[in-house]
Amino acid sequence: MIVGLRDIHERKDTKTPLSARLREYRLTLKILLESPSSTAGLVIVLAYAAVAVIDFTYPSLIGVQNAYSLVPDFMNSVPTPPVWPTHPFGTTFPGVDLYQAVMSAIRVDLWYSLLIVLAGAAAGTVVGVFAAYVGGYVDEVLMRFTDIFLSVPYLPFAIAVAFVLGRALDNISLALVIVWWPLYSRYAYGQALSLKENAYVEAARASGVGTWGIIFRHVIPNVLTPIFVQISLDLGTVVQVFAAMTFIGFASGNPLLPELGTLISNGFQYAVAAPWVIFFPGVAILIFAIGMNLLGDGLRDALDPRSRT
Amino acid sequence: MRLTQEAELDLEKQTSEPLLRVDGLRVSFITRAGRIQAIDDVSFEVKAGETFGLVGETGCGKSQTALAVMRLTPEAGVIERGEIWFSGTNVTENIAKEFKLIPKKNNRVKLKRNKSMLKRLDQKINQLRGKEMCMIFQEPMTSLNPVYTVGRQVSEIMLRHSVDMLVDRIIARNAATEEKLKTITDAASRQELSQPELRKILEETGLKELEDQIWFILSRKDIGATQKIRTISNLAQHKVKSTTLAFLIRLKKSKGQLPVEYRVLNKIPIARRWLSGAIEKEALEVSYELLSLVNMPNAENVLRQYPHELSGGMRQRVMIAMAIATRPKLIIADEPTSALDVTVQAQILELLRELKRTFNSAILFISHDLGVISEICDRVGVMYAGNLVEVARLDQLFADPKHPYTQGLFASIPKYGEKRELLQTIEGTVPDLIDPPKGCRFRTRCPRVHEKCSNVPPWSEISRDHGVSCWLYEDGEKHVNQ
Amino acid sequence: MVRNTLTSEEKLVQGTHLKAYFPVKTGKMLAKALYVRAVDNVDFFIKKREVVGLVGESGCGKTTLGRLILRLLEPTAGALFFEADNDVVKRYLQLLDDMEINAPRDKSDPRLEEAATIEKEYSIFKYGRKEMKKYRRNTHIVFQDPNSSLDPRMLIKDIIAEPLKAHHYGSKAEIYERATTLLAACGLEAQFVNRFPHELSGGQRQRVAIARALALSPKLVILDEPTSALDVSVQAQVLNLLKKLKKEFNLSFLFISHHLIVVRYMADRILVMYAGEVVEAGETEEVFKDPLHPYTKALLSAVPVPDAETKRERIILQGEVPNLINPPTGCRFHSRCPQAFEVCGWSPREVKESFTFALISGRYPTLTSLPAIESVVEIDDLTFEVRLSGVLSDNNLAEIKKATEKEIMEGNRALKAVKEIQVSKSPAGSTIIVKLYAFKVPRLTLVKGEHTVACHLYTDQKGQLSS
Repeated sequence: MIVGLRDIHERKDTKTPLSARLREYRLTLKILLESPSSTAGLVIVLAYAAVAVIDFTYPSLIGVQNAYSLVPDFMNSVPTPPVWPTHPFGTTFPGVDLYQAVMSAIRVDLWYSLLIVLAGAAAGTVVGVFAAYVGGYVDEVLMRFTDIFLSVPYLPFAIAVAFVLGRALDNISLALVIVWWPLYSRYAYGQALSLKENAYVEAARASGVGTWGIIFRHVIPNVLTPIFVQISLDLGTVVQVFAAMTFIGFASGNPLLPELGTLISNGFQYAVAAPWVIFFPGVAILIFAIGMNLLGDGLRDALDPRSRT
Repeated sequence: MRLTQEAELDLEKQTSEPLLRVDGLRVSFITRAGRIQAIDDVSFEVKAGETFGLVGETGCGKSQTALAVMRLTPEAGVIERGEIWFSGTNVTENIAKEFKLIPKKNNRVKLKRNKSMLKRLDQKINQLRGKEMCMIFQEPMTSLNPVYTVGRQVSEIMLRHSVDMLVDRIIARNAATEEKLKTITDAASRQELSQPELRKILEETGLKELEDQIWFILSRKDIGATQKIRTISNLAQHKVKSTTLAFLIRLKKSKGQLPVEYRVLNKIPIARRWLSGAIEKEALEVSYELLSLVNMPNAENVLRQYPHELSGGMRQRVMIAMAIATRPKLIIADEPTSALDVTVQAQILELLRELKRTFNSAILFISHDLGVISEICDRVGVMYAGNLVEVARLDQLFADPKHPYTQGLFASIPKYGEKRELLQTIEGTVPDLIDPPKGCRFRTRCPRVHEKCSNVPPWSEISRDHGVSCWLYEDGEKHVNQ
Repeated sequence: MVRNTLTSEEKLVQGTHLKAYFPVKTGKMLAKALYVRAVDNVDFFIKKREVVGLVGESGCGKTTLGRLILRLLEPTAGALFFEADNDVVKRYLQLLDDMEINAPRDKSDPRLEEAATIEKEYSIFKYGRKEMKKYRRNTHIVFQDPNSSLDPRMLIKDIIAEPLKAHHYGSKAEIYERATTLLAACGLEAQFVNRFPHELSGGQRQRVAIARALALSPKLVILDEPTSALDVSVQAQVLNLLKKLKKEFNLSFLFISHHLIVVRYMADRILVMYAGEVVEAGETEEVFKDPLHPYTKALLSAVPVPDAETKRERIILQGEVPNLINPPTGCRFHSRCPQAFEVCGWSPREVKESFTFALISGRYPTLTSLPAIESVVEIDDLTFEVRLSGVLSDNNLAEIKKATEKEIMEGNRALKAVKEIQVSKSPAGSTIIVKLYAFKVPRLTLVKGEHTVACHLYTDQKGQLSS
């Protein structure tokens, strides 16, 4: 409804395609920063990402001595409360410094969650878009296939996978990818179905572009925006699910691998007497989920073509 | 019809006072990209019963002008200056208190709205909106509620604005006896009754509230005379329960101010049917009459249908029926036929012309199509980039357009029947309204631009009814030297 | 059948017996298959360097026809010849004509085989992938909505380069150079290459769409309402551009539009479509000055011309465009046609309503004494019966006939189709048997010059020109 923005005269001349795309990203950032909640989300997510990266490259920067394993102290296995500066988060069973454990666990969880969501999204999107564009029997078969996977409840399925393949974080991840991809398939299917009616798809066909060309050059790129938003929203969820599963016990065989769910399950017996053992890992998950959610919402609004004038 | 008489009286009273007066209107939109000066210093008048057209291209501000008149400007918009008088009421009375523009750094502004003042405005203007001034939109699918039937939506208008009319009808019909109706039917079967004659008979028998209904029956073209007589006689049989009647009489006495118990009970579905059931049924009956008025085929079935079951032309007829339901003084039609096929458009325009004759409503007709404008308007205003550049009677505008933009507009339309090689075009494109050209906004594209044009041109009266905003006509016609 | 009077001209495109039926998904498993008959038996041709206007209202099939020419849709039947040898096409049409006369079609008819062979070799609908790709170099399309016809995520230069890349036009540098040249030809400066569509105005986007269509120097460009979404002043610029490009690139256009003023300005010849059929065709000025088909007359009279003076005779049509799933029998326009008569296609379904209405409306006092109507039954395609509960006298029959005639005079055209009214009596009651005239579907016939029309007003029963 808003009137009359034509011919933006003062636009700086775009010399390269890159500068054109950069302009678009800058605008997205600008819109994001206008909303306090989205900014908060962005800050949180960036903070977590920073922790993960630093923990991976230069752990001592944030005070982590061993990034790949929890360091137990069997002499003092009972959890002790937070004390500055030696144990800012306290210790948990069996004598592990909670702060270092949480920092490294963030890295591990983020990594696995990202992997799971991206793998699921990639697989699901291609299947969904292909089914939508080609239509006919292919459509029916692929979508029913998707439905079958959608109806699988993730917990029993993960248990089954763990049972068959053995307990390992990689197997949990595999189980979750299998559970997660149909959601993207369905979502991408819906998006692609409406997208393929667009005139530019017809124009591409009239230009002589083949089916796969259209799928990869026209449909998928335009589907990616809402998929991207969906990914950011899902990341928050997957972290929780992943931690939940490791908490229940489908962790890796290695009890010393820093992982948020493992941490919670380790300290669970002491929860009443020493609440910090579950508080800090739990809050770490919670804040990440909130931050990712806020960011995802913000991205959805920022990428909406209407809000970009 | 009752209102035509009123309209006649009003017309006499108001030949000097226009029905709608817009004076120095300025509307801006505050967006991320800046402040869009959508409408700048627009002034015009619409007299009672006349059809005034606003024509212009995308972005000229014509739709926003209509919305401003109804005080329906969207969220990001603010009426900065100006006055809008409708039927003696100033709808822009408190704009200074309703909006506040706070300047921020780097030339930006922040819009602050005074919620309580706006609420008060809403209360005041809801008396006018939908009742005295109604709007018809371009895309009927989005302006009709898809989850309610047509009958429900048309009835809603009357239930909101003319409950007293409905109550009157029910009470009058209850008071109608066989003998009284016989006087009418006898008169009708003797000769073709005209409306004033009918009215006189009805006044004599004390049934004047039934004028609309009986006139509708008499003017139906699909049934024969005997059946008409039968239908009128049968009116006496449609009575309501005595409790309902008592309630309605009480309602009428309290002048439409609903008693408290009623308001409470009306919220409960079952009680509501007992209380307002008769009124709602009456509203549906009137809806049927309205749909027939707009030449809707199969009106009875249509009442029960949903908007998506109707074609574009039929939906637009529903919109028009809703717009005339309260016999408004002003109908604002925003591109009502742009989404329709050519032949359906012809039907709708014909319908609007007919309704204009019957109800004598004023119409503010907005369009980008000069052809459609020429079919229905008495006077026309041409808008460009938020300014009103020329106003004239239809014949004056088409015979002798003065403003270079108007002339360019006419030149860009292929002449029907002339096979010219190329069309004359207006160079350039519409300017950005965030930073419009200073002075005359058309000067960046005008073929006759000169130095004076960097200042805002004065409004010049070429003749009575014909005015232009252009430096070429500064001293009447004398300045034109080319 | 339209006879080719221009035997020496080379036709660029010729379509014959084109049908496009789309199945309707009813959601029920064993329901009878319903089809939307979007294009029903259309013949047309486009000459080289010609602009053919295709006009009609929404739902008439013009958009579908445009898509068929590009084979963006598959036809249900019919053939399309592109730059085919004129003699071959004539032979094909001859074969089809002959076979039509000798119905029913015999599967072993050698003519069928010969026609099929011609189709296989020349009709684009039988092209394989390679030939189809080659065909795509010769045709392209410009869509109505400039917003959705350009991929919002692609840069302008990539949008124009796409057809060039798809056909391996040359090296990357050559491709982008051509893109810049095309943009310039369409009036856009080089700075636009690295922009996204949403950074351009509507008129500019349409220019990009045109540039893309011209990338491979096609011979035919389909313009599907190219200026309907643009402002009047921008439209003028785009129309001028199209005229210029037509000369420069030696193009033929199929200009699809509902905007008759624009079509009159741009087209050399026009085709008028209604409800999936071509009802009239001819040179533009000829058709506009002397429209023959009642629909064309109504359409032209409905056009709002920006001219305060012309007071034209306006023909306001009643009713709506028909449902294409179950289109009217015979001539699809007959139910709205102000000049319809007996053979135009009235079906019992349409006539019975008018007939019974005349009986019970009360307008004819002599009929008020008729016994009550029990039921109205359609017997076959041309007969229906009105069953009454009482006995009819011969006098009643005469009164009914008189009433029917009066109704016809009042303008009730449906009753014109009534051929015979009979009464049969039985102890249970009487039955009025109404028989209708047989009808035929009108075919496009040549009336004069190049002006063809599909209307029974101009042809008698045998399909010959009437006076």
